[in-house]
Amino acid sequence: MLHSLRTSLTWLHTWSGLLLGSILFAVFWMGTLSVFDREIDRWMMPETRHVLPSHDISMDAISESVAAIVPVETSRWQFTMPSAREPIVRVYYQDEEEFHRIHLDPDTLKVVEGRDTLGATGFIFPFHYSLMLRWNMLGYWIVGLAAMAMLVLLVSGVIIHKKIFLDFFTFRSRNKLSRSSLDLHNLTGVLGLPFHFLITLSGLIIFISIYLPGVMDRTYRGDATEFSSEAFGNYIQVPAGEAGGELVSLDSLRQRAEAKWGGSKVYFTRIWNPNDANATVEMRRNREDAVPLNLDLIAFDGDSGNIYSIHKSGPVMTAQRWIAGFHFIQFDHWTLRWIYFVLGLFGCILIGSGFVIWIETRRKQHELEGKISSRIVEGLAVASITGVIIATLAFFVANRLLPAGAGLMHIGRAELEVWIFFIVWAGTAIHAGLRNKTNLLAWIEQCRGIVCLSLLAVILNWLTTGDHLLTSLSQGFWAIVGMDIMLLLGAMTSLFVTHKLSQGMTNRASAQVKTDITPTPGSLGTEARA
Amino acid sequence: MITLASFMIAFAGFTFIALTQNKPRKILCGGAGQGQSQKRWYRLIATTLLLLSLILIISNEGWSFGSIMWGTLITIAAMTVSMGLTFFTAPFRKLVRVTKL
Repeated sequence: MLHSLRTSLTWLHTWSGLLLGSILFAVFWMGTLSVFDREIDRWMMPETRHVLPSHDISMDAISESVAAIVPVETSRWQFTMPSAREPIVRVYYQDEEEFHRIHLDPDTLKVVEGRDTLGATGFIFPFHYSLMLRWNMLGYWIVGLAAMAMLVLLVSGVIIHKKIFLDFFTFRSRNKLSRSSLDLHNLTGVLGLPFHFLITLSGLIIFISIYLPGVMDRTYRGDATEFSSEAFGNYIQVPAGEAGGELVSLDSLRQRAEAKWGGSKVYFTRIWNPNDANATVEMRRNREDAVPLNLDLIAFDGDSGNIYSIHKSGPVMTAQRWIAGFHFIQFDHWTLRWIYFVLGLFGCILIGSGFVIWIETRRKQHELEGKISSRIVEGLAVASITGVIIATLAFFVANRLLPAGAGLMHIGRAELEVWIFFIVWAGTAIHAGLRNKTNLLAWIEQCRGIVCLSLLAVILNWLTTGDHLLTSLSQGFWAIVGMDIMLLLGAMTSLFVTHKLSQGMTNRASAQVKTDITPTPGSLGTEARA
Repeated sequence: MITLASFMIAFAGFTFIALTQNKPRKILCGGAGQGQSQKRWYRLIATTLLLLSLILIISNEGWSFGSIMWGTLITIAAMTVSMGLTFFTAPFRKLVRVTKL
């Protein structure tokens, strides 16, 4: 019977957490890694490890280099200027078949050859919001549902917490697992509440046009073009006309754009119909110097240099972009970046400890009653928590091990890395199902897997690139230093957890033996009664 | 530097809050009792310190970055107090004793 608000909310908290906890953990884990997506990219794409040049790079020189590479018939190409987090020129162009990405050395502006990979910006980040399920936007909807559940979980968690103020700082780490997990769950849930609530809410607000399409439909009477023009600055493209037009100097356009934006830099440039009299040059404003993820753009006529379209967000979109900027953290602020990373990990601990509480509070009773539900949930928890971490590490290891031309049937190298992620993840789920018959064994073995794969990733980075920790330090490759140190710290933490879990398993086994040999009352007559 | 100062002030603020609660007070002061008026004073000091850390960080980072910074930094500060109470009890106790709280 659900006879009080607290009981009802406890039920809601327990079951929504149980049903969506796995997805929430994966989303939080990938989101936490996405805070350093460009740094992970540098680790996964060794050819892009450069030091940002101190001089200004000419856009005309970039344009010349790109024009020599891309096919003449391309409908568009685009590039991002080098930055501290991405010290190379990233170029995309489209041919008849697909979109291609290439990197230019910031000093020579020559193409740097590397192994094909999606990296963190191409896999970890999109997985965070779409689970890579693009069919009918299914992944977006699942993540949206999980995010709504997270908001419910956070609010209901505060209401059902019996001693929210008395236990504000309480963490009884030496008590039994169910108690220490509950303390950790409460601690990360209550202290991290402002961040976790706002980061989840902002995630939902970012995809407002997906989750609440009706609002846009009604406001703009179904005119999606008008909405995207007003909200995002999308403009109607001039169709290709006469071939062979000459592009106006990009540097002069950059100067004009930067003057209009009060000195704020251009970070992105796109050329539509590049070899045509109707070429358009689109320039977008830098997003590193402020919180809002601005959508400011200026589109110039590529032939005359006249302004064709200009966009600056209105008040509502400015607010939405501030919220998006808070979530996407594209601004240049290293202290905040690290704080986000730590708080993201708190989120993972919050979700993981929730699973552990459910299992630990029911394990004994379920064993006595012969129920298998706690075993099933434990298997799910192992695959969702340690499993996704192992799969991510396998993704990194595969990146270092697969040769440049690797492929399988029609799967290219970059897709192969992603396949390895999913296959390993499925493997951890099978392992968790098979090995959780003995208490904690599946956890222990997968934690060992994390230790091995983390160390392997660091060693492989050294062997395949020559950049060990000291070399990266001396060359000032801070992204690589950070990644290697985080992998080593992850290995150490996992080793510590393995040790603690092994101790716990031994204690439980000896307690079980004691229970088995302790006579039940009545079986030994007077002795037992005494 | 200002960020670190703001963090330390927030940490001090949360330590004052912890000292108004039974369990942390027992850990840090060995169960020395506390009157209602002292509790009120500690809460007032804690609020002042947390506001001071907000003002400091806003003045340094501006409203946009400052508000995010403070909102996230206080979580880390409160968590540090909790971890201090759990894993670094002796030095934390010494700190409280030295500052005569």
